[in-house]
Amino acid sequence: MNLETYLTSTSGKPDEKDTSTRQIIDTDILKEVGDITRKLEKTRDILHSAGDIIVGNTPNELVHEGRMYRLLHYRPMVSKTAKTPILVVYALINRSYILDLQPDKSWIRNLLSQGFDIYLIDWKTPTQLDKYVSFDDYVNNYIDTCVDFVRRKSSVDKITLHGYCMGATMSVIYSTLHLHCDKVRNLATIAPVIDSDKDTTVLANFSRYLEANKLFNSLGNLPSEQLYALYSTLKPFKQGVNKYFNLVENIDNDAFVQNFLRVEKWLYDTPPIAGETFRQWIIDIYQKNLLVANEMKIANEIIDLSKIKIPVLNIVAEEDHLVSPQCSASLNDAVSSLDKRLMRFHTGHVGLIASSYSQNNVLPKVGQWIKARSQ
Amino acid sequence: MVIEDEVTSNSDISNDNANAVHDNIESRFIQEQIAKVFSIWSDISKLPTVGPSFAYSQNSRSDLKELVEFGKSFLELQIHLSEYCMQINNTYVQALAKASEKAPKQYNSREDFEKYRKVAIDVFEDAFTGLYDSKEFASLYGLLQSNQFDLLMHLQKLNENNLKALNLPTRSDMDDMSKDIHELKKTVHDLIRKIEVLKINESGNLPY
Repeated sequence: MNLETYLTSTSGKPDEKDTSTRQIIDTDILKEVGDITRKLEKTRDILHSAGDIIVGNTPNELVHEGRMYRLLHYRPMVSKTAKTPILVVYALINRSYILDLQPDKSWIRNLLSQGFDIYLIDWKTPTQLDKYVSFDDYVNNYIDTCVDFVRRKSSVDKITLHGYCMGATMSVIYSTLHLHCDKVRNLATIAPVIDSDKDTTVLANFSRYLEANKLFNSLGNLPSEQLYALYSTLKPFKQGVNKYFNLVENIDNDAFVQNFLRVEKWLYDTPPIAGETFRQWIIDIYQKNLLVANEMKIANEIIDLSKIKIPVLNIVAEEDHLVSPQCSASLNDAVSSLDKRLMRFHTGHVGLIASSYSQNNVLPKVGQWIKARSQ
Repeated sequence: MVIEDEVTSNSDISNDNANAVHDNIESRFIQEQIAKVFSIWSDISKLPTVGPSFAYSQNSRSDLKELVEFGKSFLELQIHLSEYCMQINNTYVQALAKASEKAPKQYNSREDFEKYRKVAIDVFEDAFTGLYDSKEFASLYGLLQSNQFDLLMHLQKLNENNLKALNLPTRSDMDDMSKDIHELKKTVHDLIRKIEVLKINESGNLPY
């Protein structure tokens, strides 16, 4: 029985003196209940028939590929682009399409529209055969190969290296170890993990007590399920539960629903992390905090952040619950660059790169900074 | 009342007796099973130490040791798991009590429900984030994971022994191969890099 039929069938049966008042209240409540039920049904139908969710549709070309990475080159959106190309280094956590989630919230598309030539390293999924792939491989092999490829393709001697989260940390390490090659003109980082002692997030707390050697010996790579378990501890109610209430409330708003589905797809698209890389990430960076102390080693080379003298832009989110802003901000104290800038924004880890806020407040400033230091 | 009490207490006594008998049977059964398992292992270990049975007889003792270690890890896991559940449950109960305190006396409109939903979510968020932020919980979570890694390693060791006995490649063999392939790839990459540098030096071209 639908709500209208129900109301018609009950409206002609007055039996008390305050019937009319009660009927008004009952009618309002019943309408509310009916509406909630309808929305729940619609939510169920939408979630069950979500199908393929389109993400990352800014036109691009696969220009180079290795076992562990794909190098994408985005089609320029303006006729004249800055000569210095930007190489975006994505994190090893989840997928790179968060930087190009949808046209009006795409980090990549925005930079293209500002006249930059953009390349992106899209990491592939490691298998158990890749458990020995280490930071050394990521930094000295994959990133270095991509940097050289971009320099060759764009006929330039230097590029702007632009990393996000773990990719930002790897960009910092690369810039330090390959300083003598002079391949990086500018370093622009988004939420890098630098000084883990200052990281007050739940993620950092759990990382300090994780037996990374045992994980490596028993499981090899870090499996996706381990990451999902960790994600469930991050803002478990404000994001974990509340987002579904919000979805039901906004189920008639198609734009909201599509955005929800895209973000949800990204959240549950988590590849494993190569075992050796994860072991070093946890032990050297989170447990021993060697990076900021200039004591971390890759392939027997010490990573001395104070050697960085190129222009550095460090972008942090004040409400970041994955990497504390103060943990990222330490980069500016650690490097010796005279031209260095710390930009703080009132948003979260993902909001910093994939939101209307970032389109309006973050990207114009980032673009301006990079443009002023590009050829 | 007195009669009722007596009846109840008599019934308790007979229940206790029944339970005691049941426990006794259960414990005898378990003892018998353990004895049987040891006897089987003992028989396996007496297999000839020459010929195809050699590996089985050799492995039987280390398998038994591995099973005992597995049992120990499993016990530790149970202890940590119950502590983990207790902490989660306590946090939930405390949050529920706090949320109930803040609940409105009457719900007159949809807004009342909305307001309370926000309050309840805040209360639960604070309680659980507080728990996950604590060193005690993180350390317990670390131990819980560590126990699971231990269990996996014991199972892997048992499988490793059996695969060895069957002359099949083991996980360690595969790991060694992965490591070798990885090292080889690295060497090839470094060599290609060196060749590129040599070519650049010879031609005098810029590296791009």
